[in-house]
Amino acid sequence: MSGTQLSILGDAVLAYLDPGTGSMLVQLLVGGVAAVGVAAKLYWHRILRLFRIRKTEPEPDRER
Amino acid sequence: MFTTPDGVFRALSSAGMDDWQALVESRLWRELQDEGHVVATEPADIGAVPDLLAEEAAGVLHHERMPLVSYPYEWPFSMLKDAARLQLELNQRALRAGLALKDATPYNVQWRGTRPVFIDIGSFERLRPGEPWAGYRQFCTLFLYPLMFQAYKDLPFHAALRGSLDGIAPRDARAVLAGERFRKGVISNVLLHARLESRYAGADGGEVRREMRRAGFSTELLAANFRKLEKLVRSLEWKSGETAWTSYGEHNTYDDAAAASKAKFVREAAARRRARLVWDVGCNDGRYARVAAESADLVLAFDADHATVDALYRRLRDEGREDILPLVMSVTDPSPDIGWRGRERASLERRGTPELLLCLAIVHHVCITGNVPVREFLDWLRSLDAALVIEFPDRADPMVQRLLSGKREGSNPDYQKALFERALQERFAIECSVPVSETRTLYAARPQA
Repeated sequence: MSGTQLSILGDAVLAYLDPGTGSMLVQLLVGGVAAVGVAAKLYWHRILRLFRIRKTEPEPDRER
Repeated sequence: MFTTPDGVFRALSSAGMDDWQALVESRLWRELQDEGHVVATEPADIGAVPDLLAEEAAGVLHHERMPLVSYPYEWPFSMLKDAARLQLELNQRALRAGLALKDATPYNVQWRGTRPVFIDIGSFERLRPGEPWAGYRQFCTLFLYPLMFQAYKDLPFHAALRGSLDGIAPRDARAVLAGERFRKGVISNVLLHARLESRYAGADGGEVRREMRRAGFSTELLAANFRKLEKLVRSLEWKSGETAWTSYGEHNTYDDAAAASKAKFVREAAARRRARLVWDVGCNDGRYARVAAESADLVLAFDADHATVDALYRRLRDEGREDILPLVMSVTDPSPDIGWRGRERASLERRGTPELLLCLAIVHHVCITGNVPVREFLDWLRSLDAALVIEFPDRADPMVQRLLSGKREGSNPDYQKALFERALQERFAIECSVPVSETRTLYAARPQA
């Protein structure tokens, strides 16, 4: 083997993640009682608003 | 990442260098290095990597080379579970040190025998308070869903992970796990996750992130999520039951005297020359892998039977063994080159060939059940250019009879001791052979020049 080569570890050097919006939101819920409690104690109404805002957005793809 | 004869190097951007600085300055780094949970790493000179232009990288790290790379589609359930627990442990400890891990993939975990080692130093970064975990989706697709498939549905995850390097998407996990909604973690991590992912597929991620921060997504919440996931993973158990093979060690077709003489033969053959790497092909309960390990740095012990390998891994792990790596793999369908240009994940052979091959009580399964011609199987063994210990059960052997009983009269006509011996001699120099029972013979051989 001479010189360099793409490592067989195939490290995802350039591929660090965009977590995806749904995957971010679900993290408000996976923590169970403790996690939801933290969220609720702080800004529960904002979370609700967040969900409501998203729901009222038009979804042309689905209306067809 | 670059692999050179001098080792494994990682080039870092200037942002990567900042994160590396934050990591080495933390107490966590020293602890992780001392515990051996993270690959040994030190800064290196940019000139150490030929062909790398100075403007392409702000710095270079040098990593200890792992003895043999393996992939999650080769691991038994308990190995994937232990890798998931290491990932979550690192996440929790990083959080306490003001750091985060930006991704969560089992390909970042390698093994020193049965001890997991985290190899992706570039995954550590400074914590950005108020941000959700970027690696959560990946943790689900590559760790959690595969574990749930096995634990909740008794569905092997290897085909899914080998079939897609991204793992199992939330919607695909939902299709399989929808009926298990009352099992721990399914509603939130699978059903809601899949639903939110499709619901918000086109949403602006930056906007949602800001909203979440304002909504109070905090470091404490992140910590609670990690704790919850850790509890969930810990609770996942695979009741593998008893396959045809898990009790093979106790109920195989030889008596104790035959097993002892087989162990003696393997011990002597292995001791002739200390091997860096041994492959135990069809390792079963690992009895002979243990014998070979007495004279080897590392034994790769693989078998197609998942439950057997899982049991073997757990035993070896509990003994703290670092010289045997147990993997789930069929010799007739070994791991191929996959990913980008077939270079991301290497076939087994490209990751390092053995100096000694153990093929004990396997040739009849490959040649009769797998329908690989005897000469073809020996050609492959010869191509590995290693010393060989091989056991041949002749056609009168009870196990061979059983394998042939489902076939037409006269099937596999090349499966004859005389033909096997001739084909073996054409490729290898036989050093010695002994009968282990009335129907089985062991051979120790070296490749013909």
